[in-house]
Amino acid sequence: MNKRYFLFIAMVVTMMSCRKTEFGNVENPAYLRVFNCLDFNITLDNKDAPQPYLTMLIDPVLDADGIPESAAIIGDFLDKRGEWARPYPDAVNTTTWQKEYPGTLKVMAGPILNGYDLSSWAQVPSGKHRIIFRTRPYNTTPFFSLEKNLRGVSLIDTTIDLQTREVYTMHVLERDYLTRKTGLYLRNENFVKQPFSDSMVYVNFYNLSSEGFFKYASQKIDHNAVPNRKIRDTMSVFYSITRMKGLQFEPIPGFNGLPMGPVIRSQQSHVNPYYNFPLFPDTSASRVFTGNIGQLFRFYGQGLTPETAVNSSYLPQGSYSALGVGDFGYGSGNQYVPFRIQADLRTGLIVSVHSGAINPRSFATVNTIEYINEKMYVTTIQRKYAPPVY
Amino acid sequence: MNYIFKITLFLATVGLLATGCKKDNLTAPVDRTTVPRTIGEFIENNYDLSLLRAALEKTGMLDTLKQPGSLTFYAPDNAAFNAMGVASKADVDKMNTDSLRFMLRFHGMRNRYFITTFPDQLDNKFSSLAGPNLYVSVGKGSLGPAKEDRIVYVNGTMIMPGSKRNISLVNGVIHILRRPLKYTVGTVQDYVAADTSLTLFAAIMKKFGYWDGLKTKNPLTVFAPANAAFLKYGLTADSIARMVPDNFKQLAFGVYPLLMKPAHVFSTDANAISGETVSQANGILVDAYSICPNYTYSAYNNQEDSPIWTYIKKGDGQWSVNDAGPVTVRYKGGLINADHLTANGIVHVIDDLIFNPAKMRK
Repeated sequence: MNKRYFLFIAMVVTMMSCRKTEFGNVENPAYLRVFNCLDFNITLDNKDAPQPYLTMLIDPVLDADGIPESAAIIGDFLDKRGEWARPYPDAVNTTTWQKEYPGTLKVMAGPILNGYDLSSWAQVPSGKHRIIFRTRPYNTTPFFSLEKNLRGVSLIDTTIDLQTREVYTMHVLERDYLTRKTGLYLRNENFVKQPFSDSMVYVNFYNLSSEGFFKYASQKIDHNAVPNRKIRDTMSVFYSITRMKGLQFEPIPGFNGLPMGPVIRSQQSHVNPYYNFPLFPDTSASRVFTGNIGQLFRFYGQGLTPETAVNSSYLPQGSYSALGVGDFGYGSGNQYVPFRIQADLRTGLIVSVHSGAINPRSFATVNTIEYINEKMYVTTIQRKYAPPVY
Repeated sequence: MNYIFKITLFLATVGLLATGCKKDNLTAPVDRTTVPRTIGEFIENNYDLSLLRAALEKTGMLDTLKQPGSLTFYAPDNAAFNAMGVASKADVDKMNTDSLRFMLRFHGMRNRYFITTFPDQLDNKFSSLAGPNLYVSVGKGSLGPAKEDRIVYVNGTMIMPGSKRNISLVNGVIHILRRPLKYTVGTVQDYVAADTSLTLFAAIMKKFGYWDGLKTKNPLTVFAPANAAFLKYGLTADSIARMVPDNFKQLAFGVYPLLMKPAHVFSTDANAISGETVSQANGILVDAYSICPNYTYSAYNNQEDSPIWTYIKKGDGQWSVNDAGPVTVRYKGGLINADHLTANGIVHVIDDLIFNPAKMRK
């Protein structure tokens, strides 16, 4: 008798316990990642200008006054972009304001495509879409809960055409340095289609500064500002791979000041060629880096090389700049390395994580380094790797 | 007989015992400190707001503020009225009822806004009950560790710290203001024309061709020197009439309307932007000069300071203090003469000329 009751209860529990999950599905998706590259310093002179806190609205519905009422896809709380775009969303990050879209928003993320982890890309329906970027107040009220008079102004209102299963990076950029006109920049990434080696780290460079940036950006040398942060429209990149020795970084022999290629200011949306350096240049370290490796990218004006321009202090303005990726210290930079971005905690552009039984294990990545109006940004894309075994 | 007496005595005793105890009225008196009150009742019962109460009573608005609803009301306290020269109820009674009502309506807006609900930005625009916009700016600075302690300015006037903000009531929320808000119906030109202490400034604006712009340009920020400032440099109505504009550099008097460039600067904006004094490059740039209206508030002694610094950028890119006039000028009579909002701009009345006209001759 008791057994029969038990069986009945077991049956009920079994029938109720299955979880019915409705999986989201985007038909014919394109993969989209969006950065807000607008950056400005509020002064008494420009305080009435729209501020660069944005909401992205794809296929919006507007009311009679042109104020958005709803949208098919909303990328709300889009803050200024961070200096390092991580290879995967920061899972523990619960902040409202995002440094990119989708960031940590709960959206359909991209898949593993040709071995690349696209979890920082959102799936959006391919095809033609109207897209609006609207300013919004800096608070935590969702865009469509704001009163209509607080829903900002449209900085960008245009149409984009997304192809199925293509990977896109989109920037909101300043087009003109003097008029502060903004524009949309959509880049169809091709790294997923290239035969990249997994023992090489790849990197390409863009200068997406606005028209007239070098000419009109303040020529004064502010004694409080880090020098050498302004570069000319055409520069050459030389790379060094460095390791920590004592408290100093020193280049690994054979990897000091090697040429990579030119960086030319352009807002044309084409993919610049990728350059590479080996994942394991240091043969003395068991071929595994457990830390203290960095990459130094130096930018020289035309005709200058690391050999001819030894002391960067005496070069004309805009002729030298450098970006140190890795553990180059916490300072805001100096004249020799004006830009410092930590990227991966231990190895800069190389991802070092616990994978399989090895902790840490180093993986090659594909990177994009963008220079926009006196700021440097690094985007790192990682490959799929084996999960850790504990 | 004896039996009947005993019964009667017993009933009487019981009756007296039952009725003899004192029956207090057990309804508790209304607790004025915890029962939610309306904005009107709060103002009525607050000694610090007695002048505001007098003004509200005079205009018949006190009853309005007791009605159900959802408002945000910026309440200037007695100290704020005193700074404006209104010291007693008699002074309030002397004011024009209609303009006073307009001004009081300008101090309120629909919906409840607590300090934390204002976006973290400058110039959040809200329609006042009177119509014109209120500009609420959340500053970088803070008077304490919590988000409620952020410094917030309404039209260049600080919301008082501590228990004087976020006063939550049945029909809205009250924030106590440091100074009353000022709004003049009409344009900047109308404001200048109506103020008898700005007659020489008006004459200068007419002489140098800026007068019409004070009516048509929008937005404008005007630093208007009072008559005493012109007299200090020997400029009278007569000598202004005899001036030849071509003999002076454009900036000599063009600096006061900031060369008519679009600007919308309240006295506290510089502090809101940086949380401290504004750096030269972040000031209002007019040619080689930078006008930096600074504002500091000391919570320790509840005092404000507001010097307007003028800097010049030298050829080598370095800033130095004003070379053609006083290093700082001040609002005439303090901040009570700053932030006069009009339909097309803000007028600040100052007590000195920014440039000595003699040094600005061609």
